[in-house]
Amino acid sequence: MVPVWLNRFAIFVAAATIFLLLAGALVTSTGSGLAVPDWPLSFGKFFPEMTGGVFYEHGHRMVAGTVAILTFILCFFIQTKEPRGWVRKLSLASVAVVITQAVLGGMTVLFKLPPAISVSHACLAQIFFSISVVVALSTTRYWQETPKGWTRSNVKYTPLCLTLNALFFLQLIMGATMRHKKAGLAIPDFPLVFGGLVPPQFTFPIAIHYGHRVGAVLVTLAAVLLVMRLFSRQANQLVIIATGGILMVLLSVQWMLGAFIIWLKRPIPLTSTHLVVGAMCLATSVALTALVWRAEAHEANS
Amino acid sequence: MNQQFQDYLTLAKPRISFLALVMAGIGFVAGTSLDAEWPKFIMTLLGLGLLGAGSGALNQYMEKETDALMPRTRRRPLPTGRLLPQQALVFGVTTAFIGFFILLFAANALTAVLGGLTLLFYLGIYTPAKRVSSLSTLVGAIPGAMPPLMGWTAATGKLGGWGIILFAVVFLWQIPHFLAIAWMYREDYASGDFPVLTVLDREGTWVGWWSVIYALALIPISLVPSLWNLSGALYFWSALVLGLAFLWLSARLAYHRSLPAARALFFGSLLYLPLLGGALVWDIS
Repeated sequence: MVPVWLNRFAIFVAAATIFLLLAGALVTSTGSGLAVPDWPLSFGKFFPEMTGGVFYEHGHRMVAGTVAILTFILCFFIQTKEPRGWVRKLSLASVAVVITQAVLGGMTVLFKLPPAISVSHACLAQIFFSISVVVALSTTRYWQETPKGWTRSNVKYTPLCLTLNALFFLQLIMGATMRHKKAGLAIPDFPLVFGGLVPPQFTFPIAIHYGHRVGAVLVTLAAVLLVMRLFSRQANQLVIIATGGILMVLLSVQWMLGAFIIWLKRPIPLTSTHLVVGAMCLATSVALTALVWRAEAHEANS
Repeated sequence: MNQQFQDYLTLAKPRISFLALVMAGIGFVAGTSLDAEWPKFIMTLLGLGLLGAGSGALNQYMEKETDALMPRTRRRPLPTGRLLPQQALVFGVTTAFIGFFILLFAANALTAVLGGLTLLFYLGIYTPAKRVSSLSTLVGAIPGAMPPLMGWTAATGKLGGWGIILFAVVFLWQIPHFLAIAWMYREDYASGDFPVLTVLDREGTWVGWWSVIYALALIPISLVPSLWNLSGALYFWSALVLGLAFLWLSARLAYHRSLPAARALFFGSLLYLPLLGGALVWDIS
């Protein structure tokens, strides 16, 4: 068994990543991406004067640096204390991702916010968070105990969960593109679209915005169907159905945030929270996948 | 209908939730005109409905053992094993949280907080207190009276006026209503070992008198809006006639102490609230 303190530390790193996501979201929401023109230093210093957009941009860098150091420490302890190879590899992957993420962040600044790099930076942040959550989950006592009570079924749930993850990720890519292309209000009404169901014309901002809305419907339908199925067929699995329940709550919050962002014309607190809750939706979906995969793999081997 | 869907519906206690939603709707309409606020009205009822469904499911989760002892409740999904406790638990927590967030976003923070407090009061105080004392009925009447107040706060964003009056009306109304039910199912409550008044007071003297006292108190409280010039003649006369009828049914229970009298009071109580609310809405509009 992995020591309890290590699991708690892994949970702490995942929680710190939520804060990092929020700090990153605030940089874009406040338009502070170029408030500090150089990288890796800020105006040639470690600690510049924190005024205006510098507060958000340099604050994001400091939080990111802290999370990176925490990730290195976590990885070190996992390499020394963790007997399972795949968890050790996953932890190493998180280090690789956090370094890549830092480089992408630097390039975003140095190349003056090119959308492709900014969107990649945003999407990789979501992947990093999901990995952190899975590392934390895999080091829990629950995970390390032998799974039991999985009802044998003809349906393989892991591929369905993976499909849901893919839909979530696609949705996040569209969300990040909307954010960096400033297409958040390209369609100004909600739930209708220019008073109808389909936009009268398709420019790039309108198309990506519309895609994000259609994606929201699809990903919600897929999540509801999957969770309902797990709820009825795998009712013994309290942790799995509870994770499904959390996903449902997060999705409903995400819908409401999305609606209010349109109605209130993109207030910064809501747009930033929308990003964070989106990341939490993806991470919960990935956690659900990991739990289902663990149960199915054990069932197949027993 | 799909059995599992029906079981989840039973968990949500739809009949209680329906009456709560009717009262919340009345509270909302008393606070503002529906013309401009109908999306908020629908979302408030949706949020309240989900919160109610969640609290119903969590209540059944907490009382699954005692539900199995009583003929009235032993056919519910948890005692029969048609649903597992963890299904009820996750269903309850999920729907309650979604309901809370809908209220937070679509109504306002005050209504969401009141919703959260209602849930805490119902599950954290009333449900355990039911096993301890007959006074739990009074405790349970507080969360039971919250829906019209929450409807009002959703519409106006503040406590006061019709919201408080409707809270008081529903609070007082619940005591005769519950005592009638408790009389009808007194053997059930006895087999479940619940210390309700109808079990402790086998002669029914106190049950009858308490019903009369609360029905009597209901009359002046329901007439307060007329004194404050919040309502017109239709509401005044409706509240007076309905209050007197409710008092008469309570007095019948006190006098006869019989199952038919309890049943009459129960059905009368079910008619009282929608009719009073209907008169209010008609009067205001």
